[in-house]
Amino acid sequence: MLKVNNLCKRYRSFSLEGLTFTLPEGYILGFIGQNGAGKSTTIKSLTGVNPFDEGEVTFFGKDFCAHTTEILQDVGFSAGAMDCYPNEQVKKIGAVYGMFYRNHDEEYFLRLCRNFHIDPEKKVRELSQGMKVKLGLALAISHKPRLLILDEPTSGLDPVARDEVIEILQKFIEDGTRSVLFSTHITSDLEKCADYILFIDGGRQILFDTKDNVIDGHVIVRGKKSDLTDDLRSRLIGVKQSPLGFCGLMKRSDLTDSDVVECDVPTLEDVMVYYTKEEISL
Amino acid sequence: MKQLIKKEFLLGWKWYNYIFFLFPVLLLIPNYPAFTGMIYIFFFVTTLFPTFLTNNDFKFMTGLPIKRNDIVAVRLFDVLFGQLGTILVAIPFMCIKVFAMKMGPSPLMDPNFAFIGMMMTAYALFDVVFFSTYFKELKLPISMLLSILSFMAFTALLETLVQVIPPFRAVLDTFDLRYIGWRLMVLFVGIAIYVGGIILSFRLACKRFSRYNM
Repeated sequence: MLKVNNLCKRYRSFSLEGLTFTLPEGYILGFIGQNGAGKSTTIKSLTGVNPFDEGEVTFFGKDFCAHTTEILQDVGFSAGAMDCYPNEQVKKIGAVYGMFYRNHDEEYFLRLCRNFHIDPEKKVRELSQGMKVKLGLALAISHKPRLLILDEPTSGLDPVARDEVIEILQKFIEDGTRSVLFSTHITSDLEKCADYILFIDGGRQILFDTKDNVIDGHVIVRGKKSDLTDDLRSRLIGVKQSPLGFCGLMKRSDLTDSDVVECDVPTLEDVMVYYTKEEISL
Repeated sequence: MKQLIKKEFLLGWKWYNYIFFLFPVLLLIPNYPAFTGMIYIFFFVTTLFPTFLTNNDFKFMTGLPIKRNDIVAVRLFDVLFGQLGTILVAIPFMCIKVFAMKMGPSPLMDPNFAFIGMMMTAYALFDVVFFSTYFKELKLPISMLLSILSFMAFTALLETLVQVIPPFRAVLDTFDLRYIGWRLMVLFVGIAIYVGGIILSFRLACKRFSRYNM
């Protein structure tokens, strides 16, 4: 479905280097990283908003640079809340948006609006933040794309609205022929729905694997301050220390029987935080 | 491209934008310089482009199956539509002023073929300055200021040249049929410069926009 090889995009003050990942059909890829890590830069490159400097991007087996507009016909894109043309009616926005897609289905768009509890007669500015996000999704889905690319669709939403968005994404990939690339820094959303995790920091790729491998491949270790030997510290990806002890993240393969530590299963948030912040002293 | 143009009219152009097509009515005011009916083309830019910005139009176009150059092309279309529309609306008013109302010579240039040609040259300059600066960094106030100032200065320069150089004045600032060939030549040169200006504006804007990161 989507293959990205050595994607590079360079700005004066920031560069995205060597991003490499694949997204097969029927899966959700969660794209994580803290603010400013390069998620939006990547997504802008993948949607043709900003051309990338190096690398190969293939959608549906076709080179993105050579077939950009043809590929984008099968890609749905939403960057969070739909806040364009706030004084226009939802149904008008849908109709105008649909003009650009050969597979756009007006009836389907209106049905999606009804399902998402959006009144098509309302003006965009009359919708709540959550509704605007769902409108963005309805627009992105209304031409029945094979791949949905979403840039932080759940940020700024309350937990109920976030859960609804995740449910929509899960239904979208249900038939096994469609995929979702979903960037966020709210990792708990990905715990619920992602199959793959792509983690970047400072424009560099940290991890790309299935969510299970990411979680199972790491371990949270806890112990007393005296148990934190130099050898153990050198194997930790990140550590938080307090007067009472320490807590850190390490690769499961680096854990040995001689380590005197208490082990726990990490969350995605643990993985993200420990990789990003090397040491926190309290 | 067809869809983008349709989008412009459905979402961008509002009723008040069309009012600016009525500025050529000013041509009917007796003893009023003809160029005052033709210089307000920048209102299309000063009203339309902020509308696009405040409505997050670039975000709306993000991810749509369109080329980056199409975005430049459709913005150029908006401005050309305003300029050519102004000329088309102005022509009947020029005819009324000259033939029906028989107002006689106007202060500064008479509204004849040469006048239209000269205005088109000034429009070309406006387009080149506006599009080449705007698509560099999408900074609207600076582009508007530069293009309006250069357009006004150039229009004033053309008017001055015609008034202070006697042969120009004799041939261009008149309805004398003996010199209609010269005035038609100025018109055709003006059209050629306008077309060249459109091509140059498009190329410069595309080149600069391709380097701009949204």
